Amino acid sequence: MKIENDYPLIKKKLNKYLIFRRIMLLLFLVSAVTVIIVNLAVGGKYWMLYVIGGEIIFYYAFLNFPLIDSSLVKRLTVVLFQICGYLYIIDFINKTKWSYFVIGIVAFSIVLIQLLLFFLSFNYQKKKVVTLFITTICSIIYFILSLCGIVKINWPIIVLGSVSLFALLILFIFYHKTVIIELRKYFNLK
Amino acid sequence: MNESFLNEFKQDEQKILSEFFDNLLKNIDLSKKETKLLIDDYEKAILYFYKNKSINEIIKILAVENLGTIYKDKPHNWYPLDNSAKIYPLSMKKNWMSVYRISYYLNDNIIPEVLQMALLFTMKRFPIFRTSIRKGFFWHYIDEIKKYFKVVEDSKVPCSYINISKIGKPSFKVLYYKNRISVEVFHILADAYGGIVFLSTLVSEYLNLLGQKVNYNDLVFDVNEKVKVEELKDDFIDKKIESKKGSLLDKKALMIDGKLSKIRPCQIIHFDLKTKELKSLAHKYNLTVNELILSYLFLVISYSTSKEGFIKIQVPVNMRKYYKSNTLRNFSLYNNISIKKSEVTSFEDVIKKVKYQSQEKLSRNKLNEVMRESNKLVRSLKLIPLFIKRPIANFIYGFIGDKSQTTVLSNLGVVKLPENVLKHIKSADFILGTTISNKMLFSLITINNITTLTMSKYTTNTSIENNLYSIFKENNLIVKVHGSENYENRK
Repeated sequence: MKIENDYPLIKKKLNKYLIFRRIMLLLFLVSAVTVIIVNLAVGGKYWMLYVIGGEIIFYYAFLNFPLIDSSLVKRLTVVLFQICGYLYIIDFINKTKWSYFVIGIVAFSIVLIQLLLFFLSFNYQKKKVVTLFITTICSIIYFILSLCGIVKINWPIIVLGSVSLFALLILFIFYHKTVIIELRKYFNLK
Repeated sequence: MNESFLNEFKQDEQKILSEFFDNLLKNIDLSKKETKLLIDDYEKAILYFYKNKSINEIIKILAVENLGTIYKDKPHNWYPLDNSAKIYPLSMKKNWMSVYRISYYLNDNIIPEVLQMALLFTMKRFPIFRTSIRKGFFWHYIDEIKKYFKVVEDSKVPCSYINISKIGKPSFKVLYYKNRISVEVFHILADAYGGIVFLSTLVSEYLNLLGQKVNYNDLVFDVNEKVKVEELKDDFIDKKIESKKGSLLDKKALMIDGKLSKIRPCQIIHFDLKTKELKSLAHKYNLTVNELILSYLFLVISYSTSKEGFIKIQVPVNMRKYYKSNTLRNFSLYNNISIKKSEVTSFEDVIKKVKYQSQEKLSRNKLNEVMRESNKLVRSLKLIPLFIKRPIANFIYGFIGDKSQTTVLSNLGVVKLPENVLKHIKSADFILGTTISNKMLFSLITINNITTLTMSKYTTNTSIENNLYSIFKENNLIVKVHGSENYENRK
């Protein structure tokens, strides 16, 4: 059967990024298994969590791109929150109790970066206002927990609470229409 | 405007063009990059038409009013996904998504500058296509965008992955190659009926810009007409369905022999068949064309596999034939025609079973059961957050996916365009996009007395097309066999 070709001839392309991704994932898998075995065999502190945590952060930062709604703000926020979790794990394992201090600093940095990106190109960023809104709400909840004594209060948490409250006020005073519309779309049940 | 562009014209013409472009800039509010691209498109189109038209005629053809206000006004509409579309973003993977392609082959080679202008003018008529998919907390939705849309020369494997990861990326592509105009659509926007309307309107606008007279009908819209609300409705949710309890689950089907190819699809084959002869052959056996092709498929699939089991061919049905609907969004349902391989003994046996099952399983009542169950499933999943739904749906779809069918036969039927549009079109084809485990997908479309049966292949096994070719040749049905190279054999 002769097939008349009426499609363009396509050259084979090497996707270098995909090859790099596969190699990195393989290396991560091998190293994760190795560190778990060695750590459990040798005993002592769970330092394997440092390695695995670092790999997870690297994966989300450079190897995992969401198929839908991938934005720099979102990915940056997710990675920074993961870093907060990672710092907490290091602190928990070493029992040094510095993580609440550092996490507060990282958290208010996230809010400041999001605010800066939001104002720098409002027309483009306004569709991503939900990320900023959720971050500020989570930060305010964390601040309230520290006021109630559940989390130890310190100056980074006070700054975090203040910056988040400021961001929320700015959103609702100057951009309330945008925020309400975007939240309505985000929480739609249809 | 580029100075080199203006230098092509006389002084008085330059003045007219300057005023025209000043007016154009007042009517668009895009980013600098997109504004420049749009101006470049106008310049290329003007230079093309200048070969045999006056400036005043060109200004009239490319009037700024044709753009509408979509490149200036702030976008404010958004649409929830229709019930049928909700599964598509949930089941997406890296390099896999549900995309289909519809193409028209025109009598002459495509003029890209004119096609680009036709696309810019057509977009205002199709708000659903002017959207970008977003993630909500419970469901995905599509958000209107203000964007410059571009036609691209076909250079990739058909129905390849459309990158929609960034906010503002459209979920469709318009491609051209020689005399072919194609539209590739991510299924969240519209079913094939909606895709055909979009493509037909785009092509008729393209012909209109080339000076051809075009009429309008149900498939060809006037781009300057107001958008109708019914075209944007999710017609799945309004229906008061009285039906028995049905089921969305089906047992595993027999798969065609052969290893799944790395490149998906690895080849596209179109059989252009003589419509009159095909119809009379179908009538000879008291079948419709769809039932005849289904019967042939059951035969060739039974020859192509050594295993035992049920051969199941999924048949999508356009629900607009059962319910009055003007929606351009998804409004199709599916059911399986299934025959045990050991019962595929002769053509006469097969046609009896196909006819009986087509009448029973593709009937309004049976499809109502499917609609009722899918609406029920969507309602029950409503309050589950997306971050829980998505990985579960992804896993289930990857595990079960299309294993409940051997293949699909999707028939778009006869495309009835106005005569003055039809005379410029040679033929059409419709390609079903990527599958997870099916080795082949089939689709049918008829235009201008040519019925094109398309195979999207996901295996290098050649037995099916060879057997089909023998059957069609034996019955003197073949006009032409055309398609792509085998992408797995590329160097």
